[in-house]
Amino acid sequence: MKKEELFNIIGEVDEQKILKANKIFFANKKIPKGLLKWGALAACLIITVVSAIGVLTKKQPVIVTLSNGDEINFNISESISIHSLDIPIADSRNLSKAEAESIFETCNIEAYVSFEEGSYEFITLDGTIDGFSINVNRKDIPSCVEVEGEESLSYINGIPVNLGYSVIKSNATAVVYGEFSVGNYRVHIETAGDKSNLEILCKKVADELLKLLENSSLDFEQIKY
Amino acid sequence: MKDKDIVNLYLQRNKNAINETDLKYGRYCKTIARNILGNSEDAEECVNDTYLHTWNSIPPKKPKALSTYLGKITRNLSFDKFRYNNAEKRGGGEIKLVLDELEECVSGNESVENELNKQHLINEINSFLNTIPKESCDIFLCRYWYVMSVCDIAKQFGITENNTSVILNRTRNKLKAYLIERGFEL
Repeated sequence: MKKEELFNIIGEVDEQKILKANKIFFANKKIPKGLLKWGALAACLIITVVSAIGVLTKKQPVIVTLSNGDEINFNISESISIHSLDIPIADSRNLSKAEAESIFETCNIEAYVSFEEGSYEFITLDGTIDGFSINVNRKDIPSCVEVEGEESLSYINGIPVNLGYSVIKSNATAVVYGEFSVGNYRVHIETAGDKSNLEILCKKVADELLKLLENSSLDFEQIKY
Repeated sequence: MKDKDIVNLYLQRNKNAINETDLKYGRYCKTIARNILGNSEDAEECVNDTYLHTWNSIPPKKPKALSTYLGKITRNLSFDKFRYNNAEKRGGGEIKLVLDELEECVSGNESVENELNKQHLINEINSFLNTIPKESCDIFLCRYWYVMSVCDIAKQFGITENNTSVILNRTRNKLKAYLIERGFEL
């Protein structure tokens, strides 16, 4: 047998197994920080700390049905925190208008992008998009967003998306987020508001994710130094 | 739109079927194509061909899982395109490494003679995948179905690249032994 034949035959294996592996294919596991050692350290684009150590108040997921018929779940997390990262940044600049239009198309985004020391490749983007916080990281660096607790994996147009929310007990604020992978990058969007509006916040995040996945090229490779 | 509704659009010969497919699964298909071909331009072409093949095949076919149906067509077309490019000495993504690894399992001589033998072999590979740990099965399919890089697999599973390579190597060896034991002349 030739190797090409074996490749083709593997292409015919049980669909259920392929569907299960599909979850892995798109999944967004976070890399333990200790695994990555960076030589040169510089300040990351996310300068600080937003957010939010939350405490569980109720455990039921928020279920949102999208206009495309997909049903997605936001699970509650113990906490969501965004922190600064020590990554080797060579330089940063604003995302240009041309890049914004090409990558995010109809979305209104203001962000700055940073480039890796040495390679000068695009490594991270931070800013706001249609009123949501957005963070894009190359997948080989650890996420600056740490979630403690159970995330839920849902599918929007076949793309697995990690969804969750957390409630900050001290000021009754809910933080809702969604995260997915595209190519070599991980995209995280997030919003916050009064916890009494939790379902509306989840719906807004869900709609924004759908908009991003349906209408944007999200071709981050075109961001060049 | 739900998969069932998209399939119905194909069955009704409604051209919106392709738009809806692109909207929902365009990125999924393009990722598979790009893994195999290593460049966006060829990947885009294969995804467009995937829609055409899907249009021509539904009906009579009526897939239960639209994602894997599309994924399989994309994989096959991308692999054909890779072989064409390879003959022309152009391009190639992760697939070259994947094929080199699969070469360890086969002799390179014999061919699977007929459709019956081929189906038998597919069944045995399915059985084999049931005998190995779930994680090994997922890693195997991520590598040899989705053509993911070892580096990406390692990250997704939270293990080292070396560990991933060891798991893949062991699984290939087990697969070879399993098939030889069952009378296949690889």
